[in-house]
Amino acid sequence: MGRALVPRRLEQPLLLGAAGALLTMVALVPLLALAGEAFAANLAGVARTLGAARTWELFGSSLALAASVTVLALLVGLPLGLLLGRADVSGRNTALWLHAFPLFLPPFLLALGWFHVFGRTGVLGNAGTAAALFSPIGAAIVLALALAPVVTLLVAVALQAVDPSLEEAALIAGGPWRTATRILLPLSRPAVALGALVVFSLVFSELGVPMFLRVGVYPAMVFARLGGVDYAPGEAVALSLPLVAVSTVLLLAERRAAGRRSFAALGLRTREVPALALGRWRGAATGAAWALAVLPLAPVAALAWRAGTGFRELPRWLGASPVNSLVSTLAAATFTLLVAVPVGHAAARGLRGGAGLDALAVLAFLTPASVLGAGLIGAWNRPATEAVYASLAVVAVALAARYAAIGLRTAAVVFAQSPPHLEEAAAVSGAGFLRRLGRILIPIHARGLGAAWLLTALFCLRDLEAAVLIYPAGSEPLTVRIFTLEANGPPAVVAALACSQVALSAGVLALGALALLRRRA
Amino acid sequence: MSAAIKIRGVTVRRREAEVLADVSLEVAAGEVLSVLGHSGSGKTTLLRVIAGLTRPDRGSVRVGDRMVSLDGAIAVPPEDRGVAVVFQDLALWPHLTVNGNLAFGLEARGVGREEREARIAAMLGMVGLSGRAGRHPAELSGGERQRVAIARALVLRPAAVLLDEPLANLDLGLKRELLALFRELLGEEGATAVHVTHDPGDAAALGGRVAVLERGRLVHVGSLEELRTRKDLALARELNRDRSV
Repeated sequence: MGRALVPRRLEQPLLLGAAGALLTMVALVPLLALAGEAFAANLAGVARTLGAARTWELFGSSLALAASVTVLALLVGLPLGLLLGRADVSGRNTALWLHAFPLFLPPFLLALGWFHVFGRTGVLGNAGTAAALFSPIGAAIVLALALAPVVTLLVAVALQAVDPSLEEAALIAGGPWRTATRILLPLSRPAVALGALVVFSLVFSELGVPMFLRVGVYPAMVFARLGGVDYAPGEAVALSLPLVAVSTVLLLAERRAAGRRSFAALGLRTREVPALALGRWRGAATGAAWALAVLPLAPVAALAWRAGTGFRELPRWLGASPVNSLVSTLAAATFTLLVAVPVGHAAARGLRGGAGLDALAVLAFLTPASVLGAGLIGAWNRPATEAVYASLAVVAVALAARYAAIGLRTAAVVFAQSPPHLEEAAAVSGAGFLRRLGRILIPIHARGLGAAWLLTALFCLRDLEAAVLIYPAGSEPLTVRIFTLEANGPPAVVAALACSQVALSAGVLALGALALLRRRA
Repeated sequence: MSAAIKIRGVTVRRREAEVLADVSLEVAAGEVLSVLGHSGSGKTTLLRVIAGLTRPDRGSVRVGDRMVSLDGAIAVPPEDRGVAVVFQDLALWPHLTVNGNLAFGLEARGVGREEREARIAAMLGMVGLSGRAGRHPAELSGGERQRVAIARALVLRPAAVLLDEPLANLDLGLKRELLALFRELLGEEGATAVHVTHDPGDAAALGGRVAVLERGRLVHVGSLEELRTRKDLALARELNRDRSV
């Protein structure tokens, strides 16, 4: 037998270290660069920027918007998650898929769709509906409908993971209503907490919807100083500091609310249990669940209706943007999976370094995209890294930094599902970590890891906020192309471009789902 | 006879509580030792310490001539200890065939293809699964899966086989049949084995000495007959009440 290049006992720590170095490069270095710039900045200027009343007014508006959207998303997502996840609602799986789909579209696209429904010239629009849409309340409702599927999906999956015997014992003792409210919902609390945090942080980063609906928010202020008319990078760094504080608080909340429990809470049950019987409420519940589930699709239908003749002009307006979207997405999702396998495994098994790297990825996700963007510019806009900064690669880096947590957390959940004995049996058979990974863990979890890749890819594909600050000229992804044309482009063409984005996400989702289902078969 | 496994003063703590408290034990080469105890007595933890899957907070473990764990450190990782484990849930790899499950460890230990195939064929013949090499675990009966698990351990010709209640939850008939097979196989291979069980009947069927753990403390090492005389031990009182053993 040949002598191993690396002693077997070092295989796991070395692989984790390499993954950690890559994660640090994309996620931590930008934050450190930002901190460095903040220290180097003129303190008087920082104080002046942070002391302005407008700064804190917008900061408060952003917090209020994020909080109200989170509450609304919980009000929609919790009951819907329960109904579609566990109750005997007719066609609940189809309804859940339809409901989930808008989650994979950029929210500003849905805002554009709602504009074609309730805007002044929309299908159902008049001056009153337009005024309501272009207001903080309108923005909150649009965002809540766009992001409620986060809560619905997490609650539905968590409920399906509850140990069947716990549910059966409750059903015998207390009936379906009591089982749902006293057993199932409390057991899904980590998923609810995680859903609330994800929604809050996504809204707190959101740029596209508030800018389109002309609602002033804090990230737009940072964006304006980095890529807009008020170009002032020093001020952008100063303005990023309160956002870093918010993301740190969110990270601490996430550690407290979900932490490692979330890996176990988001499992897949091993045997089927009949759905909870709604009895005479079944018809009404089915109607309500379906109505709520398909409501977020209404703006997509409105976009298709508005596009009309715009489709004919698509080739001229699309340019290379769909290719840019796909290439940067594929690169970022693949990079993320490579990092997610060793880090997710370490986090799921409680190995040294796993929790810290998981926290780093979550911090980058919770950090508003405008902050991350400012940091990425600081870190990569240097002569030595010009090749990356001036190409599409920098978009892939930004996407990987922002969405690594999604792939990593999914991988951790996947690894946590299998009994450690499968891995331990391989270890005592004489296999080092790399062999265990290649022959046991990855083949067993291929479908789950494929799902981690797909989920990361879908979030990268829908991204606007991370890419818009950093894309080099001529390398803009489709979301950025639509966003920049939204205000002044021909409406039919913009709607057709938006439909292309819908088709792109639907295509990737369909191909991915097909591949995963084929693997199961 | 030389000791295949030597455990000295092993203590394992979990959240302040001692799961194993100052346990010392020797298993001779070729001996089958059954570790008896109620749930939570520390039986499985002892097995995991020997396998290198759990780190002892204090004490040492030797396998053969090598010090494998010493005072809070794992000196030799599980993959290099040369032991094999049959887990309670069997832990058969679902994506590999019976042949793949047996070949995995041999490949990891660098056994060449010809020898690998010969050893697998012989082992499958011994456990009566010659025609099942291409099946996946899900396509086997419960008894066949147990046989694959023991074959997977023994085909490695390990320094010691560690059996973690692999026969729990089986019906009596199948259990007796498999115990007889285990005894025969362990005898034929001359294997050293540590067998963890809560059932004195299993220990009696495999023969050999028994060690009794109570709340993490080793309270008896000797024959089953000697255990019967230990009126101070709950397990001995239960054993005396049970006429079937």
